Amino acid sequence: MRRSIFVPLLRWHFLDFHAEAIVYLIRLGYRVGECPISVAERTAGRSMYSFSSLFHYPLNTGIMALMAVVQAKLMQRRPAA
Amino acid sequence: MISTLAVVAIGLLFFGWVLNLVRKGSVYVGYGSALLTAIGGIICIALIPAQFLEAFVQHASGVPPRGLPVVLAAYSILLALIYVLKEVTAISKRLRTLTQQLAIELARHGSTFDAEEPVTKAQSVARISHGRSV
Repeated sequence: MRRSIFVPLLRWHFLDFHAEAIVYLIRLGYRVGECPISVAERTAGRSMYSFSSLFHYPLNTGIMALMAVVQAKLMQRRPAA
Repeated sequence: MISTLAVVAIGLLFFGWVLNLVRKGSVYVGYGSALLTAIGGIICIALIPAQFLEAFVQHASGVPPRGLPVVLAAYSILLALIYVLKEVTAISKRLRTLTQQLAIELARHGSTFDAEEPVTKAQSVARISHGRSV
């Protein structure tokens, strides 16, 4: 992530910088790449995700992604403060 | 027919309002999604043909549906909920800002805060009454 990304990211609010942040940056004209990572399997504790997360996380992220499109369009119209 | 259109129009108005509140950050998206689901549910119920709805409600509860007043009451409850959730979001945002500011201040001052003993309520009252800042 480059320094120039910080300003647009700080000008709006996100839900833990999930998919909506990527949608928002792409709509603002930034280039987004993909880097593969490897995630170690959890060895202790309990998952923070429950059965209801299956429904409300996609819904929340979907709403935020939709709002990110609207917000990016509004930001492009508005001159930078 | 007119009442159905009115219910749908009010619902869509609420829908747009809640989405805008979520966009502005005035309502947390988790609350927003619950509200949008409720509004969507009310609109769907309003669009079900009256005879089906009457048959279903009477079969399920024995209470005949009252039509428009019931839907308007549901919208009034939703309106109150939106207001409450907006305030809850504002309080949570203030708390988050306060926590962030405290963390920044602690990081700036380093160990000077840690070196001091925690100030009790009685001590802080005594300091204020003697004109000293805490």
